[in-house]
Amino acid sequence: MVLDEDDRLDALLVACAAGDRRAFRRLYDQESARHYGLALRILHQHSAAADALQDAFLQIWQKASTFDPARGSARAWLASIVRYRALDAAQRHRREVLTDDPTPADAAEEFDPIAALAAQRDGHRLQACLGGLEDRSRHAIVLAFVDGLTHSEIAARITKPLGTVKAWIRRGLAALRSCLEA
Amino acid sequence: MIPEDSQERDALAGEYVLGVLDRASRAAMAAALEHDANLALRVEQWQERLQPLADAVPPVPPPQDLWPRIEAALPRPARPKLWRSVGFWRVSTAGMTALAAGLAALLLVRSPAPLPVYVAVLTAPQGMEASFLVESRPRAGLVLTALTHAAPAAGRAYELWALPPGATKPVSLGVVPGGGRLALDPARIKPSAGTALLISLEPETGSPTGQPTGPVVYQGQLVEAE
Repeated sequence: MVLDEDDRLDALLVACAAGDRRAFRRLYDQESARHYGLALRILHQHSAAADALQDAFLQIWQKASTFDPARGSARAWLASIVRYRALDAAQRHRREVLTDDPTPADAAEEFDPIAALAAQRDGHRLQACLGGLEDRSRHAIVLAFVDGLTHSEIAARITKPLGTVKAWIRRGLAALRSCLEA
Repeated sequence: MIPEDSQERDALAGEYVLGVLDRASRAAMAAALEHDANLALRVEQWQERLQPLADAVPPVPPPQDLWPRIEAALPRPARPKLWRSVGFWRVSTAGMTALAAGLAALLLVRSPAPLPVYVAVLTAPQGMEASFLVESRPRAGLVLTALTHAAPAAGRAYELWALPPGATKPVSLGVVPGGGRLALDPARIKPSAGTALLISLEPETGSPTGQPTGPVVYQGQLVEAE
């Protein structure tokens, strides 16, 4: 029997909800590199990314029984847990750490997110809709989602007023939604 | 703090998923999401919309010592709580096969010897809800278990049937007792992938003809563990 990736992830999460540690291990083996990439991109430092991923996987184990395939994909459910843990850690860390210096981990991961979308599932549509946004809205949205920057960090990075950045992102999100739902 | 206007709420949900909110707003959102189902739905929709962008980030292998750390921090094994899993109850019909495969994997882990393991999840023909589970047990063979309290009307009974691949007539596996649990007679069913399992509504003592006489109310298919 051939199961597609979504079915397999759903089944693994259901097995995790039942307390199956081997399924959890399989989930980790299968998904952790993808998720470590997300966390490292946001946190820049290996130790912080590893801590965030550990928190995220413990939360995945504990909350597996709340995953509801009728409401969304396992992929997005998992990635969101990882991103939110990394974002929380970033907000704690950035009080202490100066993040303007690109670390080696950061430099090694240089890539063009918009171009990379073409190779992703459902990526063409998002790529086209992001492509239709004003450049500044698109740039701010991608910086936020991929690099995990807050409103004020984006404003500092591109030296624009905070209110302006907020407005670009709001406008961009609204346009993105109508484009994706068209 | 959380707006009521629909557009404002959607913008806030998008900002939360992007990660642009400051620490206080982020915490307020997280708190609101615990009880605000509409806001949670908007957040889930934004997560889905933007997921390809997360997929686009290049994977990086995590440090080797991370899995041992996670495993050491796992809470002690709780009692299996599959029936409390939202995923189990709400999995779509299309996901049923995958779910059965997941269960099969689960059972395989628990079996002392790697015997072939078969599982079927029976649902109402148009239903989404898993109503009966058939699973092979190491000693008892195939066992049917009711997952809901669905019971036939007074004076009626559920009768279970097997239809192996290629067969044209189902074989009766007996009337499902009131408790909803039935060990299947190995003389009447040889577990094989693709065997359909049907439950029909029959007179209290079972079909008088040896074939289903009432409507099929639940159905599923045996799958084998990988």
